Amino acid sequence: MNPSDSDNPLITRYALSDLSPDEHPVVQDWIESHPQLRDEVAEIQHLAETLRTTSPLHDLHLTSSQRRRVLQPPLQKPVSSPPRLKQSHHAKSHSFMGSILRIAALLTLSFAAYWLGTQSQYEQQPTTASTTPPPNETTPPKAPVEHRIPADLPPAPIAVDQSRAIVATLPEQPSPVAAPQPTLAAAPVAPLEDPPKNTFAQFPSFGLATAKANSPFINASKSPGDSMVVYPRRLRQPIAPATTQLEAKPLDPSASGTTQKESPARKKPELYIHSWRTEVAACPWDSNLRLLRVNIQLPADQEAVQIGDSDYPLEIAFDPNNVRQFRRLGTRHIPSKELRSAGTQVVWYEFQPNGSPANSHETGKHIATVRLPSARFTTQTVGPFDGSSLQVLDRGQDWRKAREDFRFETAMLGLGILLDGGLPGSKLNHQLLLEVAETTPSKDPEDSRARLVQALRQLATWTGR
Amino acid sequence: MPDQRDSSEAHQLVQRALQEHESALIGYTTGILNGDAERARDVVQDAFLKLWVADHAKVRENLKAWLYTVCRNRALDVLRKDHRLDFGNDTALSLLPSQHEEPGHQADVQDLSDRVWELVESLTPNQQEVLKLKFQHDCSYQQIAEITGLTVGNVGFILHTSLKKLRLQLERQLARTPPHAHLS
Repeated sequence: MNPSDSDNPLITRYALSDLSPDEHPVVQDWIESHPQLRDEVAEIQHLAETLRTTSPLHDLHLTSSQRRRVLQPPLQKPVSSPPRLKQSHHAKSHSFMGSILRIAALLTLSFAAYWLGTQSQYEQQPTTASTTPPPNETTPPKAPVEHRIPADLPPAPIAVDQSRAIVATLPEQPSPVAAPQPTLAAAPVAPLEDPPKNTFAQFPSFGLATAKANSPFINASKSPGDSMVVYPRRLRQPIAPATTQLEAKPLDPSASGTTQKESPARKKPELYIHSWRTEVAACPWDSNLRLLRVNIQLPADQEAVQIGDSDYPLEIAFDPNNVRQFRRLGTRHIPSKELRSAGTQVVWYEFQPNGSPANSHETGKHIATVRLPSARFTTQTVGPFDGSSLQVLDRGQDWRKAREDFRFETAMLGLGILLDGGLPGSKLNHQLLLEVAETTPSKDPEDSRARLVQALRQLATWTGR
Repeated sequence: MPDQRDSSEAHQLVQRALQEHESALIGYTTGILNGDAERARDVVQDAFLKLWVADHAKVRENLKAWLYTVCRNRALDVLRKDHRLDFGNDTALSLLPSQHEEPGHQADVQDLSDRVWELVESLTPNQQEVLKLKFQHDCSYQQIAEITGLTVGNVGFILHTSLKKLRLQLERQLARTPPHAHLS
């Protein structure tokens, strides 16, 4: 680019005083050595000044209720907010009512402190978020109780805590007994040998929640549809651990009560998705079955994820002409790593096709229809797709030829099922899963595959299969 | 007590954002939403709410660009939702021809400087947006790049060409206006 050219954008940038300290002296030299550039700069500066001085003034503000809401922490943030404290001081200013309120407050606080004291001994660890559904059990450490998930239960909470819970419970169980799991536990098929105590701490946390593994198949001709619920809030970035939330818990009802009175109920936010994809391949542990994975990517930078507390239906209708029976095997929530990336919701099904899938290589057999009503794509080039659906075709693909992430997740899924009690009559075992996991040879930056393989090897050693 | 500290930091950040950018953000978003200040307020409110859960360490140094980016994206989502924007990306958006005719040849122009922002309306939406971010919202090249997703080089080129176009139009206007009307 000719530096003396007045059409050089750097001249404009110089005139607007936006050049870096490195560029500035260079451009200044050009200008000083070319008089015509000085005029150019002067004209640009004159116009810029005109634009600045005549710029329309913005005197727009949020409404008072919007301002109030903005200054209150939204949903998850446990906060002792200054306005709340201010209100209580204000209440105290009334002499008579103030003393009554003071007494009432003292009584309430005493009761709350007593209640906290009595409850805290049963609490194993603090809850993670106020809107997260409460844990469905508080397992006393002594008894190996099975906690089965009903087949129609919506996807389990983010399963980040699974491995932690395994760490907490498994080493305490002598073999050969059922190993309790936090939300999906059942005894492993083969009796566990005494595992080294510390090795469970190395177990990977993949965030996979398997549904009841030996739940019965659903006959596709009688009940072709399955529906579940997408909770976008589970895909947001992990918020700081709620160490203080337990303490704040008893105060929350009154606090949230005041906030709710002040702010009207929020409208359910739109759910935007980046993309969705399905994949079908042979089931490694049962040649009569096929695996279906539904993968939905949701941008984290949207209200439904960051602020919303709503749920959205996800419907999967199996085609009874081509599917004899099916069952949901598991769900996985992968939260976004940062605000501007996407979180992922994954659902796994196992189904038995009518006839042989090997005959459908060319055209593919229609297996199911996936619908996410009321959701929209983030890009107009693809959508909007309100009410439209995603057709699932089975082209008879073998699991060895499936995508690498499909195979890797299949291994994870298999491990979850094994921990949930396995599948009687199937070939599912740790060796098979090792074979599946080790066919994913590409880079593994997060070390997930290495951790999975290590866990499978340990389990294979302990169980002998 | 990391949570309390986080909350306190978030509160300070939101207060700062409100003080420094509330009005300008609503103005900016209103512009994207074709003058709908009501919805712009909703969008800006959502941006402030998102600020509570954002990574404060990252946002603090770059608060202005972050707020403008969130408002812009959300406003574009709103437009898309309303089918008022038939484009899937910003490249397409930049190709959108101007909705406005070049301002007419009114002979009764009192002061061309008052009309310079009307002339801005004759630029392409992409040029308008960059120009407004620069001169109405006092954003640096870098900040404009972050907000719009363009490169700094692109921002420089767009600003350069739009200022040049404006100057040409002003010269034409000056040639057509009576002698008493001058660019102040």
